[in-house]
Amino acid sequence: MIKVEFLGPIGLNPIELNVKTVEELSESLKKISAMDQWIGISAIAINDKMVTNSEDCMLSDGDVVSVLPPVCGG
Amino acid sequence: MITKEEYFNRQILLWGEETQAQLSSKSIAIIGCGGLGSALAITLGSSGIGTLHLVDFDTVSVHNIHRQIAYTMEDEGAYKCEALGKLLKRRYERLKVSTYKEKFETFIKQEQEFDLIIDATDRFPVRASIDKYAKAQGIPWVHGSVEAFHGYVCFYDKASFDSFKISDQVPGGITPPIVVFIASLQANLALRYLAGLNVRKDELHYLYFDDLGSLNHRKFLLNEED
Repeated sequence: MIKVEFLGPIGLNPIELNVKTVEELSESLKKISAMDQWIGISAIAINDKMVTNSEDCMLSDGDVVSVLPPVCGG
Repeated sequence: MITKEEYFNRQILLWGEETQAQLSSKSIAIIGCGGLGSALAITLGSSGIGTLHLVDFDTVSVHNIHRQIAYTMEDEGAYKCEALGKLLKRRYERLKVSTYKEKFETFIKQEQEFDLIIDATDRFPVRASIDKYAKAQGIPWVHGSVEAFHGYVCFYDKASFDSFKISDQVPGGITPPIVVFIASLQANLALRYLAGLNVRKDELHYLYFDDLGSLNHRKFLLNEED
């Protein structure tokens, strides 16, 4: 089981999921309608470490995944 | 002319004359002279850093002025980099300011040398270009982005910008205080680095007000490039 937290204006309460990869995680998050606007544009951190090529990442029991929204302005 | 000792009295009190003198040999490029760029240039331009390169092709519009704190109503229609440069010279006349009314991609063709690049842009593709250019030049850059009540700050050294999706997103709603807040953190990292003080590199800061109005500060490590 992993924990997923949604930061900033995503604003959802943390959830727990039984998934083994970030790809599986993405599929689960797509089922949450409030995530529609954030899927595909947000960044991902696992245990406070940012990840690139996140689809390939394996997840372990107890991992905490943070979903970070994009911020564009300056 | 006022002496440096008089002008920088409180900074010399902080880190001594030698560090203050070293700053005068430093050169930075601020990419974007909007909200972040205004606050960055004002705080860093009067710190004793020798040279500022200001890059922005845009002109001042009335709807910019509320959060782009360098500008007044008299600046409407003026090129931002030029109006900002004039203000900086009025604040510290020894500062060397160069202004570039062009896009970042054009600016870098001039092959200037900098100690640091500071991101004050409002588009992901430009940030990706800054990252690529900085890596090629072997210099660090300070990322900043801000919207609504949240923003990111990071001193990029070895890590790449790849953890963010490079989309064609455009900026949303915003107020002045959060812009100055994020710019202030960028400026602190920049000035500490240029003054030879420790700076934690490749650490992403995400700051946001949550629904309860509490300020959250989260830190994330970034992977170094292969």
